[in-house]
Amino acid sequence: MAAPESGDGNNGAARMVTLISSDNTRFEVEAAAASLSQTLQLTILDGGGGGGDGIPLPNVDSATLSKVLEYCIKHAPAAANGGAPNATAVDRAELERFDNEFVNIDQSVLYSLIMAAHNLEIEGLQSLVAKKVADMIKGKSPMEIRRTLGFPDPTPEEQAEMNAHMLEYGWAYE
Amino acid sequence: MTICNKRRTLVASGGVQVLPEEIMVEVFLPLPIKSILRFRAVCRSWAAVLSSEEFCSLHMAKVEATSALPKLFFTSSTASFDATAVYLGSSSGPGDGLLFTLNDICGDFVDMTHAQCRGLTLVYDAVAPAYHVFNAATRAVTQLPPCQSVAFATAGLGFDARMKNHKEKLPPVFADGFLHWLVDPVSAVQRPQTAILSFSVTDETLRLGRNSERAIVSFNIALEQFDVVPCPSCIVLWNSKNHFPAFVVELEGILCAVLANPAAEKLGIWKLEHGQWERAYIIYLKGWSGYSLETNVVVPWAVDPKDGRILLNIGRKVGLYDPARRSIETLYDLDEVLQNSVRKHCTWKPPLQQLGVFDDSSPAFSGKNFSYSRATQSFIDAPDPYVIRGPGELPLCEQTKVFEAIASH
Repeated sequence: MAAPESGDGNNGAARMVTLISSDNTRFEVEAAAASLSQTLQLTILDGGGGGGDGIPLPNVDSATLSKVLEYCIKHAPAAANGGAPNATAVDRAELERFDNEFVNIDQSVLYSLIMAAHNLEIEGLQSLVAKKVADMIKGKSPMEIRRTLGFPDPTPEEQAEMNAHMLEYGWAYE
Repeated sequence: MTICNKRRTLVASGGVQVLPEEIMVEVFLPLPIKSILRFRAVCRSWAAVLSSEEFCSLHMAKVEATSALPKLFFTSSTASFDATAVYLGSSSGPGDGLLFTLNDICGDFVDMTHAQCRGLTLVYDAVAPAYHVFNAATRAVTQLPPCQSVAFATAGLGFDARMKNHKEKLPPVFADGFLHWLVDPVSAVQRPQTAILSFSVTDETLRLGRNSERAIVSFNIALEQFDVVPCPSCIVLWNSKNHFPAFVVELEGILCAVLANPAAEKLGIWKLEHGQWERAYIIYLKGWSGYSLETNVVVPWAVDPKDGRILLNIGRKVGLYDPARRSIETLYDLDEVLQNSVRKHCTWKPPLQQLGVFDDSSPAFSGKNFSYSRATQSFIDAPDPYVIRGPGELPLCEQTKVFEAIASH
């Protein structure tokens, strides 16, 4: 059970806040979960997001925000335990399983997610998605990266630079 | 509330997914060094980020924080004796990995710095004579500009934080903003020519007082000034009765003085804290023949912060000493490695082995933005542990290659 924010005047019930995505969808979540975002935490501590107000997030669409909140809700209890020093191995294994499955998603969703995690400053999510993207690209050649990201074909000059690099660091291409 | 977004973007051309540079750095940080090297060829903006000082420092810190033991490497002459091969060794078994070959550097005549400076290792080729610098992680090699003949000089690498470049220097012991050399009076007298950059041991010895005393010469990096630090009382006297080898090391970020007593097979270690010398450790080597002080120079390399075990380096072996049980676990034995992998190249002549350690954490060195000066006393800012190879301790030059620290994390 997540420990509710202390000093909360809501008679034991977890305090809720409302987040509004760029396409005007409203999400109601526990303040503890939303507070995983460093950006939102300050606003929430100031008492924002409660009642009918809601916190607008003009950079995050509803699909991405629901994904972000799925992560926050899952991770909030452990975060409330101060990085979970007393979490059991089972809890940690469960979180790890969740994380692995969570990032098993389409590349474009990952892209929106990493932007959102960065904007909202959710540290755990940032490194989770960054690690996933790194794993996806680490074996690729420079040309494969260019194609994946939709870069135009290299100019002859760029091609010459790429070839020279390959000669110099041949072992990195093996 | 709105979240503003005024960040530099890495790729601005149309139809391309655009990620701010900070996010790209997050993605690049978990990458292995091999991928980072390759990705420098993706485009110029990626190359700029992946080669930047900032990124390289972050990557190094990340790897140091997450990886286990550092890797070991050593050099050997090749079959034709006209080049030097750098091999990857491992504590778990014989090294079979040839990392790269330094062409035109005769393997029997090279000397290598003990400690890395920001991932770089300095190689001295006595034949040319010439200095080369390589990065064991990226395998990049650069020859430094030619220098004068350096018969008695020793050299090492330093990093000038203000100039952001690397410089040649002695590998003394760096602790708390100072570099330290321990000077035996007799060696200074016997080798008056020994010069440390622009600092002459002879000049300084004159100020050391009675010439039967040892002293530690320190160099303040910020002020670029030399000074003299008194030795612990049992090390300071140097006479016919007391001439046990002594040297300085850095352990746990603190300057330590080490006195080797071969008769008792005992290594005494004092640490300098708040200007006072205090006994920190005694290492008992009796019964561990491979580590006998009669025949070896045993250098305490690092202290494991978790269990207090002390990493010992004797040049051909690296072992972990357990103070509670007075036992040693050999982590790495060069002779075993050589038997298995290198001897086939060198049938009759033992190669001049140089053993070092590196971690896969230093993509910093591109081999281009290098400068070097023998006359400038600008040294390091990196917390790399250095083991002395001071003017009075020449035997160590040949014996020990020391490194990277369990304790530095």
